[in-house]
Amino acid sequence: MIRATTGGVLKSYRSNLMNSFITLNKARDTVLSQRVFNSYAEDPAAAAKAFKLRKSRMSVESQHSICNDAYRKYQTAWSCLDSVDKLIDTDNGKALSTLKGTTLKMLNDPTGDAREQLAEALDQMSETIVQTLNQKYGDNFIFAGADGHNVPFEVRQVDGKNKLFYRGVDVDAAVPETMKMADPADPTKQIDIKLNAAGEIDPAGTSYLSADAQLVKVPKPAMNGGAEIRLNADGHVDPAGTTVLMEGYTTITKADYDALVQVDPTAPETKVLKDGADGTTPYMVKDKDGNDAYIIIEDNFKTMTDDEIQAVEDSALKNADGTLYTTTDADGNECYIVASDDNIISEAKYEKACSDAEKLEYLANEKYFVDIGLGFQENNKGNLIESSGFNASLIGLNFVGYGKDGDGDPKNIYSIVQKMKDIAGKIKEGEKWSDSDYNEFNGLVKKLEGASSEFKTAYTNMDASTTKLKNNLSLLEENFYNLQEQYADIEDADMVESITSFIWAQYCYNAALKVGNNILSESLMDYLN
Amino acid sequence: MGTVGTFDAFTTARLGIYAAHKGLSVTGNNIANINTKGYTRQVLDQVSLKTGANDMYRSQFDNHVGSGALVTGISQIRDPYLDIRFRNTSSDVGYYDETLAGLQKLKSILDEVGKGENDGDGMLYAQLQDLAEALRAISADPTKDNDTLARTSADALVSLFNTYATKLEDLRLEYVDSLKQDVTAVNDILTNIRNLNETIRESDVHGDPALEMRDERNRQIDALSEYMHIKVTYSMEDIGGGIEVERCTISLANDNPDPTVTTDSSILVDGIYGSQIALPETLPVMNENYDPEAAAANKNLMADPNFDPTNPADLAKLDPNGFRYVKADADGKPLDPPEYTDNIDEAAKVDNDNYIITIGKLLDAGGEEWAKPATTWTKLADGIIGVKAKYTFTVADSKDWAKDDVINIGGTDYTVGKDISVADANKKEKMAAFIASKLTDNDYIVRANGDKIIFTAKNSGAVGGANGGPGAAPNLDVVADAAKFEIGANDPAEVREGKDSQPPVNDPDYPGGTTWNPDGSETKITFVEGENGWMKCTVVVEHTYDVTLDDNDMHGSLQAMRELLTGAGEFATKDTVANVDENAATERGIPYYQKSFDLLARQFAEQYNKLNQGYMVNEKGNYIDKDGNELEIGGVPGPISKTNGLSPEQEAALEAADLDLNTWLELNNAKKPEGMGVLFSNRGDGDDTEGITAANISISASWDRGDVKIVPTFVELFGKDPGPLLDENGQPVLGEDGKPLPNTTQNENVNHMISMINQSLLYDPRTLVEDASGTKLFQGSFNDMFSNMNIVLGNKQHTTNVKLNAQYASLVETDSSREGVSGVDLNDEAMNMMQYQKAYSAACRLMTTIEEALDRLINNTGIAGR
Repeated sequence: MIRATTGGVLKSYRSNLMNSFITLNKARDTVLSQRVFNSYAEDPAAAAKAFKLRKSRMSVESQHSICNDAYRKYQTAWSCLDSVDKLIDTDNGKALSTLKGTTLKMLNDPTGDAREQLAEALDQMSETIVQTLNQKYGDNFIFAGADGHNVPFEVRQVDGKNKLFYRGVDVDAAVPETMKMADPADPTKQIDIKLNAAGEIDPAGTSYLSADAQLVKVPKPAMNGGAEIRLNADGHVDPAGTTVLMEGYTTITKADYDALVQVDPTAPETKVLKDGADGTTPYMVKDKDGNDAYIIIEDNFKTMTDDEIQAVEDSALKNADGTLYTTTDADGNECYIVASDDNIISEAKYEKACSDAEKLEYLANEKYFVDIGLGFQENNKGNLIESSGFNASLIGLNFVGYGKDGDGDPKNIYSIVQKMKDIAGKIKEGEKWSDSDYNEFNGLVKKLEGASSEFKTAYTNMDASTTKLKNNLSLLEENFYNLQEQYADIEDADMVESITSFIWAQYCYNAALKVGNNILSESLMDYLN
Repeated sequence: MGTVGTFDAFTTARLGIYAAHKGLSVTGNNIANINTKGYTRQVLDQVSLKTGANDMYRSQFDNHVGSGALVTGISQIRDPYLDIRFRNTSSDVGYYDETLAGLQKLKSILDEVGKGENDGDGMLYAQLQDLAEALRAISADPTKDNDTLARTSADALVSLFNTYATKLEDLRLEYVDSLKQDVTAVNDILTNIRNLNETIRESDVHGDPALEMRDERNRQIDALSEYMHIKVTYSMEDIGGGIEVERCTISLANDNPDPTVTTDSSILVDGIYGSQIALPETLPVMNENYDPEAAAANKNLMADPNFDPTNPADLAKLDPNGFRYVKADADGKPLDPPEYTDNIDEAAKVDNDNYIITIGKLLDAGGEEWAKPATTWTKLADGIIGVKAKYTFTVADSKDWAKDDVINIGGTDYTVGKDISVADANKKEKMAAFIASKLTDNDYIVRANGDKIIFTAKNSGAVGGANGGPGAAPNLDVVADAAKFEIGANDPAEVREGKDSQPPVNDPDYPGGTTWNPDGSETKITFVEGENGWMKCTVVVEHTYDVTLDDNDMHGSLQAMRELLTGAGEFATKDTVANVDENAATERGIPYYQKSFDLLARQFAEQYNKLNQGYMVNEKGNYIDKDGNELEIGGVPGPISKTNGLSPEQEAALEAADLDLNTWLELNNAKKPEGMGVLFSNRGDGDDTEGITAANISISASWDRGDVKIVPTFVELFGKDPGPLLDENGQPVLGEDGKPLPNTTQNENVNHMISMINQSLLYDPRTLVEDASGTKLFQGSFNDMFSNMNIVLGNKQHTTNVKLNAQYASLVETDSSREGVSGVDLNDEAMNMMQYQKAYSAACRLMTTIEEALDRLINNTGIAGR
């Protein structure tokens, strides 16, 4: 039989009362802290999950700040580009105050009365574009790509002309177009024509020849009977003459000539080369069909003096062995190359141009990633997965253009305008355009339009990125609240349930106290007399 | 018809009064002790008294009536099974309670639930995110201000690491102190139990059951059971004279799962002997090859009288495996090559890092060592019992002595009437006694028996003295007047030949002595000549020794504390798992969390220090020299690409040079970025990164001074310094600090740092503890690692809480059951009180009734007609 002793009952009561009090305390803690759990031990999985969500929320807060900064920067950039856009061609109808309007005005100003002022206006507007693209957002230059701390665009005086530099690199830098030749080792390949220090064509040379070097046809004297056809001072054939007839002349057969003379002795075809022996007898040669024929003195009748031939040969580039270097032009004619100093590019100059062009290419594609909540993860090589970050670099080059086109003209808006200004500056005030200047200027106007079009495309693309940032901001805000809601779902107590539990625990505890009072109240002792 | 004793009934009544009175006393004692902790309900042992014996001549009509009640004693109501259950559960509760208390203290340090801003962003969690935010600011704009912001954030983070580490270390030290205090508390209990055992034993001897002391002993045993799981046994001990007393023995409860371990049943208290436990600062270095048999052989060798401890030849005979400890050198380290000793003072010592507990020898209150002798006697067939020679002389006559007559005994004259009375001199017996008293002999004892004077050899052996026997036969040296004194004609009248004693030399153990046994006991063998032959007396004496407990020998709050202090989990070394505790890799106490934190801090510092050091590359990702030129490994054309890694040829070239890439770059003047260097060090006043832990991690001095900054990029555009950023004259553009401005604010490196915050990293315990048993503690981000520590802690706390609740409920139930048996109940005692009170009254009433009856008989019977 199990006895229920006073001590045993009391011990059991104490234990149960303590349990009841612990339960009450827990319920009270839940109500006061408004949390379902207050330690990992109470629910390790939920606690870990809640911390992960809180960590995400903190990240989102920070990413929101970064994204917001990027958005503001893009907004400022947008304003800058908008003003540049207006300056180029769309200033609300005030077309004449734009670059495009001014250039058109210059083209339509044949007298050149206001050319100087207009050129000055062009200069000012191009300067303004540069200044606009040097704007800052906060402490950082907006259009400096991945270099926010240094002024991106800088105008320097080079050889008396204004040159634009982007982060220290000439914006017009381009790999020079060089003249090529067949590789002696592999005739199927083309290699650069190199010049040595003596100005001779030499594969071991270090200088390059620009593609715009002049090609001069090789002088080819006309031959008859194995001897050059030489002319005397009267223009008749005379072996002792100092003038040489060049190939390419036109002939008329003797039969045709005789017939024509009988019909019209003044016809142009009857003006033929005479033999110097008498000065009247037509000089007879064989045509390509082997017929007797006379040489017609007309457009294709070209002569060169010995001195002239010598001068051509003297100006032509020679091989290292002293022989004249010949090449063929687009029509397949054998030509000499006549190069001025401008056509010879030193190795240093060439490499600098290549290097600058390479730098421009790099700078134009430079990326600068920031974490705006797109994941921001690295691959296993430690390189950022580009889609997980936001490329926040705004590269001024890509807006105003860089490098040169196929004609060797700059693609950069500033450089184009400066070139226009230079052309306009060459002509004296009040004088009319020369045709070539006009054509060149006109050509540049078209190129300015092209550059302007490129600018608009880049501008539009940036606008798309701005929208992306804006959307991302909204998304981050939404995420922020979602995350708050999610961990609140895990952590926060349901107050109705908590208070009910607390009241129930309190009720139980009060009941336990009441029971305790009864336990200690009476025993048989109390009934003893 | 039987006889009736006139006053028998008075005795019956008196005994009834006595018994009831005693019953009331017991009841009163129970009521008085109702609130005494550990008190066991007492009951009166009462029997019915029957006097007289069965008599075969007893009349069949003589009906026997009992003579009343006799109180035979007072006993306790106690259920030993419940005591065992209670104590087993108590040690479980002690273990889980202490474990949970420790885990809760750890939780109060590590658990960040509900802490921090925003109602629970946490501290370390939030600070890591704060650092990430500061890094994002640098990524967006790498200015000096933002670097300072990041440094401030990192400083706050390392301060948190330091704070956590300090708190954990404080907790550990607190537990070391607590463990020491508990060891003292256990020793007090052990001493109390031993003293109580002694007192109870003395009471037992005197017939007193000493119930109150038993209660106190039970209370002390209950208290001990919280600290350690114990086994309590009671046995009877024969103390001689036919008296047996109870002996209480307490030992560890054989908890070690390893069946080869025997220390887990070490005796703590055995009767009047008790041991003390200790937590030594150091432990002797044990001889790994210790062999008890070799130890016994050594002791036996050294016990040999021919053994000379100063003789190297003798010392060489000792087996090194017979010594327990490795000797120490001058610095206290183990000698190399090792030498061994049994003297613990000479032993090399190692720190008791594992908080191993030792149990001392069993000693009584006076410090006497426990010894348990067991004696066996064996009668031997061999050997000859020695016989003492005996010569008997008879005084044939002694007469006519007159006063002043002289008798010479042994060369001395004695005068009759002065030295012996005349009357005594004339009696043979008296004269014989007188002579015997005056004679002395070196070899014999002389005594008188009647008229005989007997010479008995002092030692056994044949006369001649060769084997201890008397040298010669005795001579009765008496000179007297022959008329007055006469010795028997044939004296000595009786002669018993002495015989030499011959021990049983054929016995294999002869001549006996002391032999040490492998179990530490000693066997003492002696050969004793008995009356009926030679006897072999074998006494085996068992001793107790100091015991060094195995790691898992205990269970209870002490063990819980030890596990909290030693549990390193995956950081436990393979050696510890193999040689100390096979469960070490799964026990996670304070060291586990300390080391986890250290590993987290080290990982953090290593990763960020690594990210902030390196060599510059150009925009193509190729390493460059100080002049901006691309580097080439000698003989292998082509740049060294950081982006694409080394080509097989480059790898081969480096391997041939036995260099890693970083070393090669350093040797070949590869360009380093401005402000490169370590961000975190092991102390704030230097840049040393060796052995960074959570306790010492600091912002490096260089970062603090500003010499080092967070390197945003390792890219130098176009390979030239300062790249394209030249002024119009081709000179470098200088910044405010006079140094060439970098030509890019590229941020790829700081982006690495940002993504590092969330990068999944492997936490390998071996990076912190070389010989760690675990290879992968966790894989995840810094936050995840910290979270994992908390999850491990939380889960352990959760499961321990569940176990504790279950065990505690069981303990309460068992205690209630025990109370049900042993506790005092007021209703019960009220009933007893009424019962004894009524019995008392009834006995008194009986006495009155008898008195009235006898009064009738004595005073009022037979008076008719008076």
